[in-house]
Amino acid sequence: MRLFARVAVLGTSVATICAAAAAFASSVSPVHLVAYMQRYRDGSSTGSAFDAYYGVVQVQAVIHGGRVVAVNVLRYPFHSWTSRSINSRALPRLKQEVIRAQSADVHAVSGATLTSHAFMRSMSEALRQASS
Amino acid sequence: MRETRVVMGMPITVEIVDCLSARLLSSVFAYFEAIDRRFSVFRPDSEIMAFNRRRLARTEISANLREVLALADQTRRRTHGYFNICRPDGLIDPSGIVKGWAIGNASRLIDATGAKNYVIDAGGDIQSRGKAADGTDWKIGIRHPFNDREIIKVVHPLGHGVATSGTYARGGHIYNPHRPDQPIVDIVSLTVIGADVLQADLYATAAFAMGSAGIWFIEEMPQLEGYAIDMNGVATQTTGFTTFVVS
Repeated sequence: MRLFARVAVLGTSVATICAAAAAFASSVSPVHLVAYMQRYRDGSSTGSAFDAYYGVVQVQAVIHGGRVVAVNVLRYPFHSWTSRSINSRALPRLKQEVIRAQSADVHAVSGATLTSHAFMRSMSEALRQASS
Repeated sequence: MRETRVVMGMPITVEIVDCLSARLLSSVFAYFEAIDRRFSVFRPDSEIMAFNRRRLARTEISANLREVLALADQTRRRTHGYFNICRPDGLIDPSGIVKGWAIGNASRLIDATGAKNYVIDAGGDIQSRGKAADGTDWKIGIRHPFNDREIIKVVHPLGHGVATSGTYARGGHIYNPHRPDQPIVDIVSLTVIGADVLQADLYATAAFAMGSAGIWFIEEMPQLEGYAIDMNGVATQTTGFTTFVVS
């Protein structure tokens, strides 16, 4: 799933937008930033809503004195982040790591059920579609 | 004492450290077997199948089934529809909720006897309390999504419930039928640690269905921590997950 947040930015707002968009995108999705070198008209500029597969993301840039002074996330998939200004909230970066073998000296193991019926059904359907 | 039996189509292991009698273990398994008789969609004579075939009206169903259906409905709303016991073919299949729910009930059954140190592992959903037989905290491993003989993370749940949702990829054979030319960047395993195993199970299921966005959903939920693994073996964890990590 690719999450695109295409926001027109200028100057010091770039770092904030990068952090916010990268946080949304988690580990794998590239975020495309378009930086324009000219000044902007004061007011609010709303970007198109992008379908991030699991929902819609839409951002609004607030421009004052020709510079972007705030970016509001208008629409976010989980509905709870509408109209929060990104500049006023530090989005967490989630820790990532490549998985590595650990000691098997454990009392119990949690993993997706190996013989999940749903997995088998979905697998056979995928293979059927691949060969049709 | 410790015993493993296959019930509800999966291996269930129960270990009760403070109990030397086989009777409590047997009653725990008897409980799981009764749950299977009521809720299994693979048993034509189960209550859930009678309900599915419209042989039972909503007013005639047992208190247990009513409770499970209500829980499923509440969870569906809280997860914006990503958790849903109604299958695409129209069958109501509550297995995604029954597993965690039954473990929670079995756990309370053991609590009622005064036993304080035990672990219940039903198909990878784990509820532990107290300490293991050697006096140490219960250590739970997370299975490598591509190599079922390997552990890739070890946690001390410290009395919390652990559940893992996922599917397994076999080489390059898994792909998205809607976008066959695009690489799969989706997640293959999502482990949730929650206040109780029912919550962990429900939200692991819902968040897994959200794909790579699921870990953010868990991050936003209070009292839940998560560890998601993607197709490339890269894991992302919520900010509080580190509390539980051993290695």
